[in-house]
Amino acid sequence: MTTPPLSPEQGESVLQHRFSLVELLDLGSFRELCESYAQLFQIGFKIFDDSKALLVDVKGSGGDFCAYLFSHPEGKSRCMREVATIRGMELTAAGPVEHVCFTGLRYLLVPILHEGSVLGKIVFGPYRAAQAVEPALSGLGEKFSQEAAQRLLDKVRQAKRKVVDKVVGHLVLVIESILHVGYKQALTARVHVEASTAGYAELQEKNRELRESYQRLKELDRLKSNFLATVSHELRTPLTSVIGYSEMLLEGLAGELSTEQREYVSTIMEKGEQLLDLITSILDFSRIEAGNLRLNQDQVDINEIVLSSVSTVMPMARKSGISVDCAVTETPLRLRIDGDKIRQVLVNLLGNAVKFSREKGLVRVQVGTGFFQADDDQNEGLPAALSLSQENFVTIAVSDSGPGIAPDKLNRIFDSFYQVDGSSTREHGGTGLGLAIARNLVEAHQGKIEVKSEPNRGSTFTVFLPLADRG
Amino acid sequence: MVQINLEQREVTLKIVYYGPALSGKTTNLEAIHKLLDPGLCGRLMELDTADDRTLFFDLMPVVFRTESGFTVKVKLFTAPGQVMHDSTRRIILKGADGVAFVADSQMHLHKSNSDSWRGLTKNLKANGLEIGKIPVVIQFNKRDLPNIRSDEEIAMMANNGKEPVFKAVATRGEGVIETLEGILREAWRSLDQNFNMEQKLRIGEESFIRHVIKTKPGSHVQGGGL
Ligand SMILES: Nc1nc2c(ncn2[C@@H]2O[C@H](COP(=O)(O)OP(=O)(O)OP(=O)(O)O)[C@@H](O)[C@H]2O)c(=O)[nH]1
Ligand SMILES: [Mg+2]
Repeated sequence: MTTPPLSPEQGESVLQHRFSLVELLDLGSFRELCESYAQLFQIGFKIFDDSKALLVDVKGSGGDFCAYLFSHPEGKSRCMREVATIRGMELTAAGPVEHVCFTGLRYLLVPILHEGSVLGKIVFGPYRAAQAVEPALSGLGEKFSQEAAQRLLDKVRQAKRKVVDKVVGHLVLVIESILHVGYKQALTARVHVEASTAGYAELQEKNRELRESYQRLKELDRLKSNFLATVSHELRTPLTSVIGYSEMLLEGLAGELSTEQREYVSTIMEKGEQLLDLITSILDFSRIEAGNLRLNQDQVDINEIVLSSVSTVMPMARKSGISVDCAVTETPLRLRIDGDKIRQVLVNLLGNAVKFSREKGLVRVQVGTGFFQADDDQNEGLPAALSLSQENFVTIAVSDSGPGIAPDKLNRIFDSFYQVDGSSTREHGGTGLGLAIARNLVEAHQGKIEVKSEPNRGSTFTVFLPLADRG
Repeated sequence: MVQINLEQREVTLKIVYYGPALSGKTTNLEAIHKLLDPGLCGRLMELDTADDRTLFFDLMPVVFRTESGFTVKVKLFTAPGQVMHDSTRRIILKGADGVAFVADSQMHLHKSNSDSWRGLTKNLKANGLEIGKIPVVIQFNKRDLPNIRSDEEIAMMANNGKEPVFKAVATRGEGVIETLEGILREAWRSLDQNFNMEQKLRIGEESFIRHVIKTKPGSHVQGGGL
């Protein structure tokens, strides 16, 4: 009787099964072992399991005497009473109990324990006690010969209790180690069967899912390739012609242009080039989305990457009268990253900062080991103790003094094609893909990118990159 | 879930050592086996391959009798850490009363610790158990190696969580008993709340712990707690 009701999914585990002696023993070979044991010590014994069924019955030197008794009706019935008593005796883990039979012969009853529970008992005997006891063999009928009985009784092995304890102790040890092996084997077999059954069912299910998603992906992939081919061919080819012909016009290949004409054609060319950039970054993005991004990781000092990114945007900043203030760390901060990809991210962030800063504004770049909010995908579902903490991250913060981003727009700016304000594309150019690409590149480094902004004060974009290579 | 057999006056608890491959779960059990009173703990059963990787599980029972005549069995299992044995891990977790999560302290193994923890969450769920509800302690093992998560960092992060955290060098037996004591305590409290263990067995938390953790004289190696 188990007290707490078990719900079906918590049903009995194979590991909690209470094994019986029969389940743990190979009875055939175990009986052979018992036979030879009884022969060796000339004392027979019986083994009962915990439901009192007789599993083993081997005769020793007492066999003939018992058989003689048994051949007389009264002897037989007394014997059977004795056996019933012994069979019914409950043993505890506490230890062996000695039982004296009506003939004066003795039995030692020993519990068979497994993991502290009684699985059965050994009834070891009969043997004769060291000091002879007068057998009470009267009243067994006319045909019963005291002399014959005594002759047989003398053949029963005499043993001191100390010796019997030793012999039985050894038998128990043998049985326990056989049980241990049997238990190990039984558990292994059950776990193995259960694990393979579960594993098989899982695999079937996974296979089905994989087949389905494979079909879906194949279809998507086809569509994407088609789309890419169309984009590159249908858009780039005519665009190259537009740019090429504008260039030729500007070079005067179709005759001198008036100042006004020159200005118009320049605009056509400039916008054409912008459009080409747009198409190129869409292709870039599709490549990242398609998982074709390969990182070329190497040990790099992040300060160097920051400085070279700043120098890339300097000409543009100078043109708009914006100053760039760059603070790197005193000691090199070595990271395992793809330098080119991270530079691409930083140039993008810096470009935005310069673009959105007011005239004479200030853009700040700061490298450090800042604080990291531990609630992201990497830490999802982990207890605090196993989460990554801030000290393992390098931060690169890019702040501008621009118009800032409204709080309700903040969490969308990393979405592809999202623009805070449709008009900003027109005003400042850009595809709305830059930040989406930046985020993908940073995440590919197990990092993350965060933005904080105050309307009319400016925005700060912070890139977090893991300092140690933590897998 | 604890098995309480009033008829046979037997109670069986199950504690599972879980964690990523090679984090030292088997080593924990071996150390416990060495340190505990041999009269109480049974044979250590290891089911492993030739190169000592746990194939199915390891098992060591600790059995004691209360004065009120109950046989209390605490069965300590380890789950196999290698990724491919996921369904075995699920089977081992079935009916667990507590989990000792053995993490590898080495920095570069952060991801395998995390993956293993998520696997634990998932496998518990498959058994109708829930990570926030079942007693769990975390052990950061292999504190003797270089490039490990620092003590300060562990202390700081542990402060934010509710699972008791222990540090250990299982190969030297350090922190192993503390971890065992930690999970036994958590498990006992939770079982007592749900099943009135104290009333049923007529022993209290401290007495339960002392019964299981009866170390060989002079063998207990200190270490562990934060
Ligand atoms: N240096 C050091 N090594 C340890 C420590 N604990 C365990 N190890 C070693 O780590 C290796 C793996 O230990 P195991 O206990 O077999 O690991 P496990 O978690 O049981 O591994 P699986 O069964 O495969 O999941 C062994 O070589 C151990 O000796 C420790 O505290 N310090
Ligand atoms: Mg192991």
